[in-house]
Amino acid sequence: MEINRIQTSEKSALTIDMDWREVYDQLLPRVFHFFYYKVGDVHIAEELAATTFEKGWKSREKYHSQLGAYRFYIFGIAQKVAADYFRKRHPEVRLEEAYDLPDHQCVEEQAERHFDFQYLANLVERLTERERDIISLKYGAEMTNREIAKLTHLSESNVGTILNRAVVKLRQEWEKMA
Amino acid sequence: MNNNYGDEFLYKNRPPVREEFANRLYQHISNTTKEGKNKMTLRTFSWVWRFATVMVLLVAMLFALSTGVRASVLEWIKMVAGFNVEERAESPLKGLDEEPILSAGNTPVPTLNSTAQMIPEAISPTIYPVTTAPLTQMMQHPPFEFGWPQYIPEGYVLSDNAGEAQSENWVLISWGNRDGAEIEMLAEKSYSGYNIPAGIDSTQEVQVNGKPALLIFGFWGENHTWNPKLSVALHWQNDDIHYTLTFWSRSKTNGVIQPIENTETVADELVKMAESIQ
Repeated sequence: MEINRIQTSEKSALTIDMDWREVYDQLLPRVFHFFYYKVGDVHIAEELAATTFEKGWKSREKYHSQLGAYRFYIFGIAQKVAADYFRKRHPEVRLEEAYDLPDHQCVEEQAERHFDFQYLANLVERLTERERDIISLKYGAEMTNREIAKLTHLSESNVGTILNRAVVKLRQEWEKMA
Repeated sequence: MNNNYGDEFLYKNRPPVREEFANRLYQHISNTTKEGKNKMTLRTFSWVWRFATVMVLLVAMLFALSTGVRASVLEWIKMVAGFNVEERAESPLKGLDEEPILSAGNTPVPTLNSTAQMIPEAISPTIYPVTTAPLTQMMQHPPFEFGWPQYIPEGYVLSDNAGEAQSENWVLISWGNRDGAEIEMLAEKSYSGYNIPAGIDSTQEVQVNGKPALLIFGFWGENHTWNPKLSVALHWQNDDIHYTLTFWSRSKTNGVIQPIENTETVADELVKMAESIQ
């Protein structure tokens, strides 16, 4: 009887550990892509994702039965980390003011896929700050319009409108390249 | 995925997370969390031991006030550097071991008769809860003025917790290092002449800025017997304030107090700290 109880307890502990690894595996790409769309650089996105998890991982057990709430909590941290990054280290410089999109020669030198990543990131960086925020939450963090509305304090319909406008702009540019 | 906007390209053209990065980050945050848990454990142990220190002090004070008991142990009491030191083979807390009585609120709770019978006659210790508060909060409203050491041994960091007696007669501040060593400073408004309990032949008189000071080597360990390697404490008075610096070293894994390798070096450091008080 005692052994059974211990085994059950160990099993529960293992299950909890596995769940958290799964949560991490599920959340990390979203956090990373959220930052990627925000900053347009893989290395900086990794750095900011790491900062977010360092800050948010300790509190995970408070959200044991509410993974949705924990996800929301993590993206709350991610937004602050992004805001800190832009405030302290990366003054807002619009892409078109800083450098042009990669030219044809560059395209030929790079692997096609890498170019696609970079090209899309550059297109996103051309958007307004609000559009970019919402694109990051939608296509990086993979949030629903309702979740984005809650996080950004905009109405759901407003989020939908901004998204639609931004995606149309991006698609037009994307198709030009294609 | 939502394709209402013809937005598939926004999902497909995201760089994947590098596996090496994901694994390293997971390892890092997992380790950080474990360290955090260990810190909590050490902190808990730390306050347990501080509480024990305070209990020793309070029992000693009550012991001094009990005339009957005082008469029966006079031959054990000696004066060192202006302090009454009561040398004992066993901890004064031995009798309290099985049934510690703590007051839950501000009102002290007298111990039960059954407990009192296990320790010498007329000693019926009254234990007050130790109030702890963030250091910054305590420093905003210190109960009395006291000095701070200007010299702190290398690697020691001031703890953000402070203890304060409800009587406002003493405060407790501590510094710790990464190896689990801790230095506590207890500043008491004034020394009223109570007996300071210590092990047999565990004391030494030294000088702090030319004034006599009391060094005590050791603390009560297992079975309430004195272990001369468990701690070093330095008592001295400055501007009527009674200061005590106590050094402990605890295991990083379980928080248990470890024997000190070189107590003389520790004593030298405590004297250096004491001499730097301003």
